[in-house]
Amino acid sequence: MLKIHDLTFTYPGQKIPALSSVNADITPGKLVLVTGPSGSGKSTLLHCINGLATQHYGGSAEGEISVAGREIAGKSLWQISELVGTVFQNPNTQFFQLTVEDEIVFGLEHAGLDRATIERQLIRALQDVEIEHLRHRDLFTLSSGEKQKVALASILAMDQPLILLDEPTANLDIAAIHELKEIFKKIKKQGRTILVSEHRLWYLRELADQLIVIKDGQIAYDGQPNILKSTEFRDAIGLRIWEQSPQTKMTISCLKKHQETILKVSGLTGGPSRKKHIVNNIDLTLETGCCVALMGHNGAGKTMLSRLLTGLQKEQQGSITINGQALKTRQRIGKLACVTQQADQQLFSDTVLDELLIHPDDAPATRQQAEQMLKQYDLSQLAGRHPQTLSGGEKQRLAIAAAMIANPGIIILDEPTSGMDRRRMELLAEQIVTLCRQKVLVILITHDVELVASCADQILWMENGTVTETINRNGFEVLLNDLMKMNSTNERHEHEISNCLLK
Amino acid sequence: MIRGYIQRLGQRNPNCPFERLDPRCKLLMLLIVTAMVIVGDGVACAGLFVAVGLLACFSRLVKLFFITSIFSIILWCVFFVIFNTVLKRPLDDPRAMFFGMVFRGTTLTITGVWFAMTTKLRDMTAALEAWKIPAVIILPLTIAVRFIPTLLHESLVIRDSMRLRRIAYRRLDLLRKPHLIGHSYLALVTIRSLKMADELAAVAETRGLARPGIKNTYRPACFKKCDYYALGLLTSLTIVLTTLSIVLP
Repeated sequence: MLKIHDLTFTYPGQKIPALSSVNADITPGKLVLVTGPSGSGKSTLLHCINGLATQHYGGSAEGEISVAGREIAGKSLWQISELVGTVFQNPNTQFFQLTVEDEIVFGLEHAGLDRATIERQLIRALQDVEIEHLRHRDLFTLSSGEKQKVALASILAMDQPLILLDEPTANLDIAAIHELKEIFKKIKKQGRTILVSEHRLWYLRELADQLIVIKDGQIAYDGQPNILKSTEFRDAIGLRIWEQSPQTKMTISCLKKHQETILKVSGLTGGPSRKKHIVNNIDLTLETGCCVALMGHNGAGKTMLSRLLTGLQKEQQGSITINGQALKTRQRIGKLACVTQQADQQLFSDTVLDELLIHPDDAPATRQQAEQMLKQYDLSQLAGRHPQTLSGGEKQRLAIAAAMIANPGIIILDEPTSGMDRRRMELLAEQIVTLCRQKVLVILITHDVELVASCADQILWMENGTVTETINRNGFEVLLNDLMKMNSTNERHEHEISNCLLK
Repeated sequence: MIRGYIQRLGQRNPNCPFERLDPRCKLLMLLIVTAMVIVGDGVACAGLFVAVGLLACFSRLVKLFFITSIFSIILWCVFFVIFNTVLKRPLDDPRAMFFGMVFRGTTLTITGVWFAMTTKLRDMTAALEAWKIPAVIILPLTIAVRFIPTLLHESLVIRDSMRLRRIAYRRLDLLRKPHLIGHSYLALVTIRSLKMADELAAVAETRGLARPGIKNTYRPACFKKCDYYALGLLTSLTIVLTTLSIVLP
């Protein structure tokens, strides 16, 4: 289905090739997992296959790529699009229309198909991805998982033999990942070839037929995915977990006792309007120097809880006490730091140093403090750079530094490891532990079981707007195992998806 | 409320009778109403105001209808008071101004919002294509409408980020720190929009949107019976209101 022979690709203005001497042979009907550290060239490989690398980004490529026996070189992008369908990482930037149906038929209309064929392919794509109920919905009101399904349906409707997916689970919760896995199974049965570029590997362990590992622009491994069972292999490349659930490590705060209470929440209820409550009657007492993971499926109320805590949303009932002081909505703004998954939406200045010097009138930071903070977050050498030109990890470190310069005592990290490789995830976990050492309360809102296992002291499981369970580290393994379905049969998996924690 | 209306822009409601109308028919209706609002006298405008009120009832816009009406009345009162007490120059024709602000303003606003709420982007472009409007006009229009929810979402997220860092979190900050808000907020929204536009362009190419040749439409624009009924109803209303304008003093 896909043959790559001696492919070397260089981005414009770069001397070092992003990919060098890549060879691969993929047979039809297989699911191929492409993985490797961030920046290793996974996305570039996908862009070489769909033609974007040379024709959109303007790089230069040598070597040959053929899909279904047809050479890609010399073909225009619309010709390649008849053979290759691509689902991108961010579902928000791959839609052209406002409703699900319009989006799916958009590509079919441009292919010049007649109405009957469009209707047939639309219905088939909706059924394949099981989103018939979303047919007339507004795209922008869907959850991340639903959006990703719509993106996949738009591609499946086009009926291309090769489907490329660039980190499809980066924005998904665990329930949505399991649903995506079931869809992959279905597509595979239809005989289509799927190429998935991923950091999260565990959900593909029963599906992947071939593994391609890319490191520094070269193929480090091409063969059976079973090699991922080897911890040495994963450690050497820096890959995430495959078969075993993550090992829970002892964290700093576990060793300490009798911490001071920093955050107390009593009977907290709130939502986007007076009539609609997403968070219902939450009681919490959290201590300094702890890392608490807030987990639960999408829509459970995690983000709303963080909005209520930070003062972005007004509570309907209940009280929030920070450092022994009950604070009203407006008083809470700035008392808790919050860093979201899109760190670039939180950086406003022209230089990295200036980012730390933008300050509210009542808490100015000095240049000396800012420089010290940059040093602490290993950003000193980037002080003069524009924040929007930094890499993803650097942007996130800067966002944390900018949030922490006001010395808030509590920080909320919302999906901080979305699309992160293992090394960057471990670095973040180290930073979290450092923050805990500095007696900062870290609240993690995440679906990343590996991050939770690395640094969290406690999991607060949320369902229907309330905390239903508090799990300490000795209970992590059971929960994380359940979430990842390491020890379950398909029947149990389906039962759990429909009844318990996940949905 | 604004968020709710913006969401309705993209939500298709197959049970809504107005969504079944051809966008060209709705565009014609909008033009007729606009023309009547401009040339019609007080009686015609009052009649249209009542008709638009009924239209709002059937298209879930009653709340907006009342808000717009009340806002226009308040605005008229403010003008009335300012002219009479502060400027000491009474309005020449306060009744005409009332008709202009309340009846004309509300009628135009509600008809425009009704058109936007009940016309989906894809249907609109299909209708414009059927009218042989060139792609250079349709494409920017499509992109502009497509970007409304994205821009709204980005703006809200960036505003929240600024509040979290206490850069601008009070309403007065707009007056106290306009440079900071302008620089931080607008620059970031622009950067994010450009980035997304580039990603969208890449996606468009991988979906073969540059393919030459004939393009088919899943929901082709065509005038149906209901379109003729709707236009007939509006024409009848126009005749009745014009007659009333002539007959009544």
